[in-house]
Amino acid sequence: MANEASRHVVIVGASLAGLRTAEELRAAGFEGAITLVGKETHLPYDRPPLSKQVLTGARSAADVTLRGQADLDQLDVQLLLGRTATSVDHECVVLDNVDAVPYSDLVVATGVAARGLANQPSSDNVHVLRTLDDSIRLRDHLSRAGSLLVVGAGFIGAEVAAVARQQGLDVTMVEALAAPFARALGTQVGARCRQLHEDHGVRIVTDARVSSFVSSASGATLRLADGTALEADCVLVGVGTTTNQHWLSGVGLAGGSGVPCDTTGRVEGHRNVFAVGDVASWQNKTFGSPHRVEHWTNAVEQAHVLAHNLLDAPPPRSNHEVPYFWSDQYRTKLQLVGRPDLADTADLVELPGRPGRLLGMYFRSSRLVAAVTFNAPAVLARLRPLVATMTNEEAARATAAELVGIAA
Amino acid sequence: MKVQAGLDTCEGYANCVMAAPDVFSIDDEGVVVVLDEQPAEEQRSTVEEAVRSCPVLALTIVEG
Repeated sequence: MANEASRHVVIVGASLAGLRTAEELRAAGFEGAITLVGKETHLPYDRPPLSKQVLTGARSAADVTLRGQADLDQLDVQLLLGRTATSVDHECVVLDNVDAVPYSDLVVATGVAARGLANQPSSDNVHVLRTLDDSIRLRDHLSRAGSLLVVGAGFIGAEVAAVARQQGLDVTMVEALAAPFARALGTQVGARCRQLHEDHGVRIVTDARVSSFVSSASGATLRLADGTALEADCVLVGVGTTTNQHWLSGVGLAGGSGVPCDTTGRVEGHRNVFAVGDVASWQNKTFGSPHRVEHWTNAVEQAHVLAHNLLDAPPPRSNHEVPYFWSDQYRTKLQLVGRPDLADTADLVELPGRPGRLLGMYFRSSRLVAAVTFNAPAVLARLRPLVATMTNEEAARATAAELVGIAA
Repeated sequence: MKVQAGLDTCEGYANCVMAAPDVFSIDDEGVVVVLDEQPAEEQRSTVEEAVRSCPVLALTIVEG
């Protein structure tokens, strides 16, 4: 490895994962050069509030800034905003098709983009939600709209639906599958999430096949295959994401869904290329297969691990292999650890205390692979280590019973 | 090392409890409880992880 002071780490992507990687490198004592490249013109900002407090107006654009220019100067990080990495080879990243920036180490932190529907009209009345600009535009529209149509019953859609209901809009949510939220939470817990929204007056349409999607001056109309026409002033499409890795063809990483990495963020087959955050698919010893995680905590934890790896320092203790995720909907805090998608069975118990407190546990071959709580953060936190060791069902139930004061 | 928690800032994400369960807990209202305000030096890495992983930056370490 080159003399450390002569190294130049170029981090492409100036959101949480990229920013934290820069900070972690400095915290670990790295004295070489760091360049952080961001496609947007905003200073690095935090995304969880974009579907919550920014939409309600409780937080402004400035309130979600993660670090100011002075902070980055102090860290001796060169920040290049409004610059897009358009290609890369084994020596340089090319910005905006023009400027070649040489690197000794490349960190890919370009995240994901919101996916749209194939027949989605381009219109001010039709939104996706990924960036701060998206959030501001949606906030302004919700403030003057009377109705919202959410396409896709996922977490982004659910959080926006909750905000819109609290602002008094009529809200309809449309989902292609039979059970909303089932993809992320399984059918049982997904059903409780559905109930939460229905209790707050959201109309939910399932098994929806979109046959046409057109905008008008005042809104947009979605026609379903069964003839139903759904009209609204404002439409949010929340049907998942695609990884921002097309610019990586020069190093053979443009294909697939996620940049494949070892267990500490080094890209497979590369000595000096790393990936972190939403775009990265890290090998995972706990669950035995590579996995890509689009959650806040994952970006923070991976950045810590990656920085140590890049500097050839001993790997730190970390929880990053067990994903942790939260969602705030109405007054319910939904928190999830692990991989519900791997489960073959799941069950749900009501917790004592105020109404609406729930615990769901997910098992694969009688081992705990995930847990979810509604309004019970203390319980959830204590279950993460049990998921990390894939504790057997009996022991997991006993621990859960002890935590919540219920019969096992 | 002394640990301070902003109780008004805390939103109950529980990242701190996951990082340092001997130092932090959370109550039924979803607000952080500092179990050990002056954790031993051996706890430093886990306490730092808790501080680093708080989504609302509610935690600080005060040296001394």
